[in-house]
Amino acid sequence: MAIPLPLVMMQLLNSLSYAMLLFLLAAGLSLIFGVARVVNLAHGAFYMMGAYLGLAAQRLLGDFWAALVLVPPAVGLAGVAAERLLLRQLHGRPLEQVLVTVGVGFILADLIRAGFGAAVRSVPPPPALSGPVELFGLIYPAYQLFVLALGVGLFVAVRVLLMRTAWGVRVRAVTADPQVAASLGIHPGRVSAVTFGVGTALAALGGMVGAPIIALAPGLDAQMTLLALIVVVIGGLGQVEGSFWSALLVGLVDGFGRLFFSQVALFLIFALMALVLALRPQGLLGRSLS
Amino acid sequence: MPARRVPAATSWLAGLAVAGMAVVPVVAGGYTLYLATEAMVWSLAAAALGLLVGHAGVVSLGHAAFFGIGAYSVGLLVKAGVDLWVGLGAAVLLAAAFAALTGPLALRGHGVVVLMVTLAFAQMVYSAAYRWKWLTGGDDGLALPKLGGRPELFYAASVVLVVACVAALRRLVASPYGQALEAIRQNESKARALGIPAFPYKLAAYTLSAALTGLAGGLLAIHRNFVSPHDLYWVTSATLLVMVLLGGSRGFVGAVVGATLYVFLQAWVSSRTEFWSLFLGLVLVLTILGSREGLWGLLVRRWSRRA
Amino acid sequence: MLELRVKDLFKQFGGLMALNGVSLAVRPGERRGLIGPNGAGKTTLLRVISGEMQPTRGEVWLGDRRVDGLSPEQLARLGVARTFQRSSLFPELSALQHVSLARAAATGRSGCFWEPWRPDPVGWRALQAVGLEHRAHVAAGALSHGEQRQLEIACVLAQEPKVILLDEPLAGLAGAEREQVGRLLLGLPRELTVLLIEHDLSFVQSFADRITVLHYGEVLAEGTPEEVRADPRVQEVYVGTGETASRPAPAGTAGETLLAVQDLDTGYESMRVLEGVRLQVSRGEVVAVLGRNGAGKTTLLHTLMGFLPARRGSIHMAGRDVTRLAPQDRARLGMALVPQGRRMLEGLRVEEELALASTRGRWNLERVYNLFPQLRRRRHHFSTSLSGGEQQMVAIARGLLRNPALLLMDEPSEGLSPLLVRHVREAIRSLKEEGETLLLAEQNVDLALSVADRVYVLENGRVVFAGSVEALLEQPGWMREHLGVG
Repeated sequence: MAIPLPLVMMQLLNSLSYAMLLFLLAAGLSLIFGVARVVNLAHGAFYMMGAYLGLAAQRLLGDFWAALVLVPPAVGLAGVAAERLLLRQLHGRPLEQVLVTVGVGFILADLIRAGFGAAVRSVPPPPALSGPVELFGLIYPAYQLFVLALGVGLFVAVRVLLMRTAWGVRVRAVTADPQVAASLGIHPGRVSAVTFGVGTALAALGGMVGAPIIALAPGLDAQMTLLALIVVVIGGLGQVEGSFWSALLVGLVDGFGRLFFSQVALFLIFALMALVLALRPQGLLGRSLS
Repeated sequence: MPARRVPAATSWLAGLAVAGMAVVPVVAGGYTLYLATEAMVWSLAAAALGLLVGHAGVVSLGHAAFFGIGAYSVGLLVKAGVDLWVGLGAAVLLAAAFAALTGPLALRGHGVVVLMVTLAFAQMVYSAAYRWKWLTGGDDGLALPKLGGRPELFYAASVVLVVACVAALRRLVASPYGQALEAIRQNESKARALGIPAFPYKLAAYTLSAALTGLAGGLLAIHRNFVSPHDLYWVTSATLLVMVLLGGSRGFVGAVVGATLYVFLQAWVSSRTEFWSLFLGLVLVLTILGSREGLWGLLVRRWSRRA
Repeated sequence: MLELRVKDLFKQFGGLMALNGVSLAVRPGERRGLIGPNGAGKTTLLRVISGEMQPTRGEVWLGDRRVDGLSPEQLARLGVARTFQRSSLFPELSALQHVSLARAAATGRSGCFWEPWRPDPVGWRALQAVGLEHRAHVAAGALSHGEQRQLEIACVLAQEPKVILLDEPLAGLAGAEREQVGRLLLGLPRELTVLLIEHDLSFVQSFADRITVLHYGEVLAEGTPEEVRADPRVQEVYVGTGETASRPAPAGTAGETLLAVQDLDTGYESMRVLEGVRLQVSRGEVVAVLGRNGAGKTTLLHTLMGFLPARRGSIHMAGRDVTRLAPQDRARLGMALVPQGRRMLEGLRVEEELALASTRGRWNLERVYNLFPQLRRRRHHFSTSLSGGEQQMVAIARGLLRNPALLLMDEPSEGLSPLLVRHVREAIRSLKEEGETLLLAEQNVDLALSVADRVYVLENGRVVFAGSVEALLEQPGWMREHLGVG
């Protein structure tokens, strides 16, 4: 290939930071599916909520970091509210639950449009991260590196949370068998509400840090929901670890697909998904769904 | 000898609805006629989706793909100077072909998985239409010459088509094959134990539903003289599901009622506010929380109780 | 007439060998009974034969055709019909639609889409044969459980099959309904090759030409009903070796009433599983609930724990009405369950699973590890990767770590080797000496009687005996009839 090395390295970094963004989204979706058994098609709307509320909070507080700490938990609370008020009513009826999340997605998207307008917005990275960084003789934008580090950090954090803490054991127990978990004194409803909150907070975090990378526009919610779905389908439903590797795969295929086969880049992701579905319907690391 | 008699109230309501459908818009003309035609086109697609959702138990959130494929087939072929009828034929065939191609992957799973995979495939088509500007005009869509003849005639033709399709679909679900689909929906493992090949039957229903939806898409292109990538967007899939659910997922008359209600409601709400999808979301959430059988089902039940 | 042969069939689920080299040949026109304790692999065998599951290894032959690997629908077209353990019908289709559809599928006409379905004469005769013609237009979901069973048999008849696989066709039936379905089965055409799983052993003996006994996924014995009845190994599997008598259970120190169940009814959909169950457990007592498979033992324990709602009646725990409480609230009030089939939590390590269950009290991790030293060695393994016996220990340990006022144990001996059953027995006896209160549901009469103070016997969801172990042991004839091979 006649494509110079720095360009390849640059694209690698772009792909990886994009992959981490996908991971933030997909991890939340996957967690929610594992514990609450709900496919949350409003996930992209929560991503948008994070992005726009993040903008508003930055303007209000004048500080990116304060907004980064405050906005995701606030969106998480909205997620908990949606779970308690709407989805809980439809417990055990997965299709109806999915359709309700579709409705919630429409409502949120329009509320965002009402609040922030329909114009396309490109958001600059926070000043501290807007400059370039030199690494191994090459120059990279600092913000991409920040997103990459944040993604890896959160992957480690989520894994530690799930594998090493009492809360994580509870989450895994409810995922495995809600009835037995209840007989051991765990309140499955409470665990799923909290998980829903964490999942939507992750989506909102993705929206906040993703805004400088992917310009905000109406319709982005559906696009992000779809990407998260593809990542989760490839990685295996309910598998956070699967989501991580699958996000990397999708990010790299997308990034280098654009670089080498710009005409069909988009199809590569779908082809990847179709391939996984054909060969391993339960996803790369998934268990079969019964 | 049919086993389940159609309740008198249903046929009575349906008759009234058909009569009203046929006469009122033509008399009213203008915008009412335009909306009524629009409602008929959507009714066709909603009835086709109703076959899957209500009778085969396959909930597709990807019917926008078939709708859009139909619309673009007609649009592109007509622009290329091909005969309109050939365009409509291509709309049906291409939509069916896409279903036959993606169905084997989508129908490998069950329930929510089907929904996700159909959604993903539909978004793939959307992205293609959006990006391939040289073919589809991208975001600008395709503007077409005026095609449908006199609006009254086109409307009458669409009413006839919808009535014929609903009748054919009703006949289909009353056939042994229709019963087999019902059986698969209610208990797939038992159906297979009886010797019913569940997968090919579902794939056939999926393909048929796609073909009819493709036809509806083609008609929409003629009706609007315009094709937009928005017809392929997942909101269109969700819209179709809302129509089916509004009417109660079973029975094709319900789908027609749901679609008609939706089209007029949308026109009315959109003339007052630009936040239609907020309203749509609320309707969807409330319909699902409120009843399992849709508004039409509620109406029929109330009616038969009174009778 | 078609011969059904199974050769060296293996089926593995994770670490568990559900079928461990099963071979059997059912002659054309033969009626074969398949019996064995819970977890022996009977239903797995049926599901492999009918194509619902692929065997890990081995062959299935239908006449001179090898059929393993075929799909259920292909097998159905080759003349294999089956019924399911729990009624399996299409709730919204009428009885007549069921038999007509079964007929259409069997004759390859179910794909016809251009003309309306018609009631099929053969299907109609099948309905008549089972006595359901007066219910022909009723949706299956609205039929009684007995009628649903009849309809399943009508579907099988309408298929005009060559081989029939029946999975517990009498489960959940009582009284007149049970007799009627029993008569229907006995009246099946003699030219059919039949494989029947059933826990009502007296029925199997009157129905079958030969009986195969399955145990731990292997064929334990095979022969005529008389031969099987006389086989000491079979007796041992079902009633035990008679060790019981030599070991009087230490007298419990019965305190005040801890659990009081009044007139409890429960069920699944149209199927009523428990009827008017009354039961009491006092503090410090070990109470056994005996009964054949399908008698309602697991349903009773699930209802007590709150997995299933009670339709009628009440459950009081330490004087408090818990009938409407969620499982986690009952757990907090001191109930714990060792569930049937152990139900390990996938993705958790042994130590995590135990820590999750832990509460403050007399039982802690250290004590549990002393009771089951194997678990200490395996504490870093995933619980689902353990052997059946070790999983059972985890399940019991989980229950103990709740430090419950009342421990419900559901078939702790299921699927365990005799050595491990002895181990479980010792564990329960030591719990009893510690003063724990246990309610034990068991199929293994021997095990239950060697640890219990009092016994309830369930049959078809009703309590047919309540009293002391001694009182039960005084009636060996009655015991054999209701619990044994008969």
